[in-house]
Parts: sequence; structure tokens; C-alpha cells
Amino acid sequence: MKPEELAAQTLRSRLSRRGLLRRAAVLGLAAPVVGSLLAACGGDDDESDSSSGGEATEATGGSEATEATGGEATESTDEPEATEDTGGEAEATEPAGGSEDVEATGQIVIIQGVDANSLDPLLRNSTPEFNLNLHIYDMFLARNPETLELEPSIVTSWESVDDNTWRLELVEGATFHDGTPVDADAAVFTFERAAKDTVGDKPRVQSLANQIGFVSATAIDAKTVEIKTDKPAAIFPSLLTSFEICPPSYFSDESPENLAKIAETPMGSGPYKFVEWKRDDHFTCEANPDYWGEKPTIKTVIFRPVPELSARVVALQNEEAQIVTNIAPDVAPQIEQSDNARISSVTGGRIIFLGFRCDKPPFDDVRVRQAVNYAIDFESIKVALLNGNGERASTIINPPHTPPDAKAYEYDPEKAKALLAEAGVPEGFEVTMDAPSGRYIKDAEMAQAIAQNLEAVGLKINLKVLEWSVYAGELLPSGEPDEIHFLGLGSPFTGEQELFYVHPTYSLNFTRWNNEEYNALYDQLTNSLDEAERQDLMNKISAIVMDDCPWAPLWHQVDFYGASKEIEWEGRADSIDATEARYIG
Amino acid sequence: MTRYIIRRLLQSILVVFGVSVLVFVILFQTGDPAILMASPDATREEVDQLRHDLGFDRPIYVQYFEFASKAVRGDFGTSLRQGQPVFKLIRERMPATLKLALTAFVLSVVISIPVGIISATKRNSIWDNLVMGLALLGQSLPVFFLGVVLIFVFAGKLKWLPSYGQGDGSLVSTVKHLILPSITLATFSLARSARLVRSSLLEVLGLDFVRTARSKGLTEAAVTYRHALKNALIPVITIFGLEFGTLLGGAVITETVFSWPGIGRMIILAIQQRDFPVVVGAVTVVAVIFVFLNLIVDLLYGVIDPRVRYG
Repeated sequence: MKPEELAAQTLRSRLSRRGLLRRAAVLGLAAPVVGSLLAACGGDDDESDSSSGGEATEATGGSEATEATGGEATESTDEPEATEDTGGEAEATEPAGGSEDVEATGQIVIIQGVDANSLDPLLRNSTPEFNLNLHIYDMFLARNPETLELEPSIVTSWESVDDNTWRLELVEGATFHDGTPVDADAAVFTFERAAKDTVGDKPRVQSLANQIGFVSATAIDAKTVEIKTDKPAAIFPSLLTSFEICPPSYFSDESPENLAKIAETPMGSGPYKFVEWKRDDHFTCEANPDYWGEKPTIKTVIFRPVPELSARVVALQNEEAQIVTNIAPDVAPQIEQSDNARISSVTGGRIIFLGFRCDKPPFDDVRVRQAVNYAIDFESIKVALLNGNGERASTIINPPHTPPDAKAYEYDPEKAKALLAEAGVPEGFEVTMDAPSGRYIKDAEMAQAIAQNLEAVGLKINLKVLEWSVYAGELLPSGEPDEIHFLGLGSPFTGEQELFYVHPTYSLNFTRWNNEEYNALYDQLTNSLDEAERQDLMNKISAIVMDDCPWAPLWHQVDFYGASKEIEWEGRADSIDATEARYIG
Repeated sequence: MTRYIIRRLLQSILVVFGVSVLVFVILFQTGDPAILMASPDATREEVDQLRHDLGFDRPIYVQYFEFASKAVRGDFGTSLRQGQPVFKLIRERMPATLKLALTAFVLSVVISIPVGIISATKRNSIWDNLVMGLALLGQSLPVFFLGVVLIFVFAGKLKWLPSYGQGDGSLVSTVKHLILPSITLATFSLARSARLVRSSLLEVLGLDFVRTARSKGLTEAAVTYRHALKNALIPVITIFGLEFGTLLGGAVITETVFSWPGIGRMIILAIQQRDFPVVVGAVTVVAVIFVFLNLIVDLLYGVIDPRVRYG
């Protein structure tokens, strides 16, 4: 580790973080919002918008992010000594961060690629929206920013009482911004709202309740809630990291007018209070002096959407913004060299891969799929396109559940040729490869480079690069992409959900892969609550997926943020949290 | 005259109807938004269910009829993504777009007319060649490229102007934020108008009545400004009318490059998100404005040129 990284880490762990948030997933469908614009305009550099870290899901698309993370360690407000549990962040030791008497001052501007569509927690389906929400709302649980493991937040402890019951304890002394208490009734209300099929008269898009097989929520006492599910739902706590607790006082009125108000003027129990939102211009919030947890040190946080990469870079260098998302890797060096800005990069939750149509010859032969895996020279791609960042993926599972001994396919063109020969296609074959442009970091360029790798082992590739909105809007919904298709899926850090991406019923799995062994183990996984057993199952399933390879996983996309040198702040895989930022000096 | 206006109004309605059908059909060819809206781990059944709930599994003419019957009552539906009435969203965005388009329009008019006149009266001079060369360049530069270059130079290097957004609402801030995008937006139409003014004036200057005026001994300035110019401006006004409509609708790229929160940017985002009600509603509104401007231009014709008769 380089000294500056060490220093940065030391600094970070000293600072305590608020816990929250998030993130998630995304699939890639999300975002084009910017992406295509830029593509129109600029190439794909921006694509990144979607990428994960920050924006994992961009607005557009769809998917939601779900997860949260964060880290606050502090458990309770009243005791100075928070109990930390997980690893980390001691709030008690923080001189600076510590709460008590430090009054929040200053302001930071955060630029994302796109704006939110709606701030109603149930309509949210993009990472930029998530980033806004997590300032105003408290997520039930948080994730440690480095390990991505669960940490307490407004829920201080969680346990499974039996296979179908979870019990949550809420923190003492928290209130919503209108002064009503955060209690078990509010939690029950929030779950019940999420379990309904509609928001007002519109179909609901978020699916937390479906995911866990929600049956009921009951208040046991003022601070305790029990959630019943119709199946063991081990991912429930993970999902809570991107689930906002909502004030019944504000949310119970489902009239169209009130729903419109909720979508535009959010009110929760979070560290910041909503001030003003003007679509596509700015979203402003202010430190909540009565916050139950660690109080923010930055008084005003302004989010602005700026779709054009060059405008974002200029804004950062001109000090019009302190944190900027979606920096293209080739622009990163330019920012590193500037006097007042730096790059913070982090491996996000999005995995980029090639999918194979396992129902079509010759990809119905595992040796052909493996041959493609061996033929990919990721090291060269990394140097040429990614400014040296990133590693070839060795699993499709994100931290914290990454199998410990997962191994990536090595670049071995000879082995690839041998496998093709074994599979009966020694002279190679002609095949079409689909790739999007303007969605993922260097997507079209990467596809181009991979096509060359594949030609080197004898394949003839017809590369079909489509602008992202066409790719996501036409090709994918058709359900019939070509034999090789380039895609990225943003994952929620639960392991189980990442593995679901190759499940036969998953809507964005176009591989038609159907592996009995995988199916059986996946069933076991979804029915198990035992952490050790689950990790063991995930390791096994990951090995099957890598070995039988319906995909050629490429890499876990790295997100590049630009940050002002005036602030301490590092990008994290799951969200942007201004409460973690501090002005230096 | 009244009959003419009525006929033109009916025609306009037809045009707007045509535009909305076209947008609807094209949009629906691009697939439906359900898959983009569903949560990332949705199964195929869940996506199908959502598609059904949203009504996207119905035949397109049924969906169009529903849209049209509401639209004529002023209800463009609700945004799929934002959960807000489309009309409200359009209304919120209109001022920003108008501000930008008007500024660009004024810039374009104020600069192109004198520049075109000088070029025409000093034909083939250095000035003429220089200006027409620049105009050609202005017409050929992609808006996107020009915008980025301006950001890079005036915001990035010189740090004179902000790089994005519309400022905090104060006059000074608004003006500062307007400069780069309005120049970017105005460039194309300015260049085109300047060339048009020049060629139109040159044409008129060659006509008989101008020769007559000259032969009466009028000064060159009187001939040009009092007699020729008025005639030369007729086609120019037509173009300006259309130009303003183009600026309104065409602010799309400029608004995106400069993060200007206007209607063009909203349409682009909505297209990418397959937020159909917003796209159809906003395009229809822009079409209405465009058609309306056209009508005004046609009526203005008669005011400027008494030879024009409406029948």
C-alpha cells in the first residue's frame, strides 16, 4: 500500500461515519441518462455514470439500488460511548467528528451525472436518487464503507427468532424532522407501505417486500418490531441497508397531491433536512441539529446534476463543486495533476461481463465458453483503456461475500485454441457480439479489444455496437441478444442476489443457462439462514458459475470520483455520503 | 382574413395531431419501459406483471386513444418516473428554456441583421469574405463541440464564467450563466440568418425599383435602408419565426452540455428512460408552439408586405 493510501485510510477510520446506506444494484439498465447523451455528445466517457459507485444506477434505468451501507457505528445517541459493533468506526474517539458541540458549518456541492426522478422511497430506482435520500432519511441498517459488512444504524440490533421471523430493535431518542418519534409503529408503517402493490394508484417498482416474502410486521414494544416472512429470508438485513424508515405522519395520506409532495419534498429522520429541490438544477439540504446519531459537520449540502463530463471536470477544477462523480479513467490523470483536485477511486458493485447464449451452438459446449474466457487479455485492456485500474473478475459475487479462493481465468490463448479444437471447432467460427456504447466505462472500446482477442484464437467476430438507449430499450427487452453480449449488472452486496443474475428466471439473464447443480444449491441458499453454511454455499455456487461459465466475467467496475483537495472524503462502493466529508483545517 | 385564420388553425390542429401520432408510434417501436423500471432482481413474471399494470401490453391504438382523449382536455398524464403530472413538469421547465431561447434569439437577430447588411453592401470586401467564412464555420460546427470548447476556454482556462447550471436566480448570476449557452445556441441560427440577410438584400438590390430609386438620386444609404431593406427582410422574418421555434426545440444539446434545466434536457432524459408520457406530452407542446409561431409569421407577412393577401 502506498503511503498516501495508508494515510487516507488512517484518516478515514478515525473519522466516524454515519451509517447509512446503501446501494446497490443496478443493473445496468439504468442509466443512460447520461450515457447516451454523452454518447451523442461525447463519447462514452461518461458512461460511467452509471457505474456503480456512485451512481450505480442511474436514473434511467432501472434498477434500483438497493442496499445500504454505511457505517455508523454509533449506536445510540444517548450514551456517549457508542457501542460499536462492527468494526469500526469508533465514534467515540473522534475528536473532530464527534458530535456534541461542534456546529455544522460550510457547504459542499456534489455533482452527479443525472438528477433524481422521484424522492419517494418506493419509487426510487437509481443511485443518484439513493444518494439524495440517504441524507434526508435513515436507512434501517448501514454498511461499513470498507468491508461492506452490516453495521447498526437506526436499527441497533437484528436477529432471526426463527426461520420466518426477524426481530429488529430501533435506536432510542430518534425523531423525524417534524418532531414525531422514530418508533416501532413507524417501522411497521414503513414495511406495510412497501408491501402494497401500488403507490397511490400506480404500480410499485421497488420490491423489498417481494424479495423477502413479507407476511406481516408487528410492533412488540415501542422500540421492537417483528417481521414475518413466508420463507427464510437471509438477505433481509442486507436489504435494510437501502430501506428508508418513513414518518407515518407524513406518508399515510395517499392522495395524489400528497404523493406528489412526498416525491418532491422528502421528510425523514436523517442527518440532513430537506430545503429545496429544483429539478435538473439543484437539491439542497441542511444539517439537522437534532440528529440522533453523529451530527454532520458540513452545514449545507447541494447536489447538482451535470450530464456533461467536461463541465463536471471544469466545475471541480474551478471549485464550483467539491465532489464529482463519473470521471472517465482517461481524464483521471488530468485531475490528479491539478492543484486543487484529486481522484478517489473505488471498486463498485457493478460487474461487467460477456454473456453467452448457452442454447445456441457452439456455446452449448462448455469448452467453447471456457475458450473465450481464456482468450481475453484483460491486462492489456487495463493498461490501454482503464488507466491501469481494475482486475479481471474471479467471481460474480461482491464483497463482503467474495469467495476467498476464487480464481480468475488467466490469459492463455494456446489453451483457448486447444479447447476449441477439443470442442470440434478447431478452425474457429463466426459469431455476432453485441455491445453497448455509452453505458459502462469504456464499454465499446473494451468490446473492440475483446473482439480482437477472440479473433486471435480463430473466431470471426461481427461486433455490433449499439448506443445504450437502443441496447437497453430494444435489444435487451427482446430477450434475444446475440450469442455473445456485453453487459453490466450492479449488485447489492448480498451474494445471493449477485448469484441470482444467472438464475433461469431472472429477467435480465439471456444466457438460457440451466445447470441442475446450480439450481439445487441456489435453492438451498435461499432457504438457509446460517451464515457459515450460506457462505459455503455461495463459494460452491460461485465455483460452478465460473467453471461452467454462462458468462465471461470481465471486471468489477471501478468508479472514479473527483474530489476537492480541501475536503477529506473518499468514494465508497455503495453511495455518496456527505456526512463523511470534512473540510481540512 | 378570418377565414384564412380559421383554415390555418384547422391545419395547425392537424399538424399537431400528426406529430403526436408520429411520436407515439416511433416511441413505441423502441420497446416499453417495464424492463427498465422493474427492480434489478425482478423475474420475468414480475416484469410482465408490471408491463400489464402500466398498460403497455395493450394495442398501440388503444394507448394512443387514451392519451389523445385526455390530452385534448389538457391532461398529458403522469410521468412514469417522476410521478408528477406531465403538464406540471413542462410548465416548470418552460421558463428556463424560454429564457435561453429568447436570449439566443435576440443575440441572433441583433447580430445577424447588421452583419448581413454590411456584408451585402460591401460585397466581396475583406469584411464580407471574413464574415461569410465565419458564418459558414458557425453553421458547420457541431453544437456539442462548440459548447465544450467554450466551457473549456471560458470556464476552465480563463475562469471568467461558470461551466454549468443557471445560477442562483440573481440578475448578475443569471446573466453570467446565460452567456456561454446562449452563444452556443445562437451560433448556428445567427450564421444562417446572417447569410440569408446578405443574399436576400443582394437580390433586392438588383431589382428594378432599387435602380429607379437610385436613378432618382437618392443616397445609397436611403436606397438600402429605406427601400431595399424592407423588402429584403420579408423572407428573413419567415426564417426568424421558424428559427425561434427551432431554438426552443433545438436547445436539447445545448441544455445538456450546460446542464440547463429546460425542456430539451427533460425530453432527452425522458427518451432515455422511456418515460413515454413525458416525451409525448413535451414534444406535442413544442409542436403546438412551433405551429403557432408559424401562424404568427404568416400573419405578420401581410403587415410588412401589403402585397400579400390572405384568401
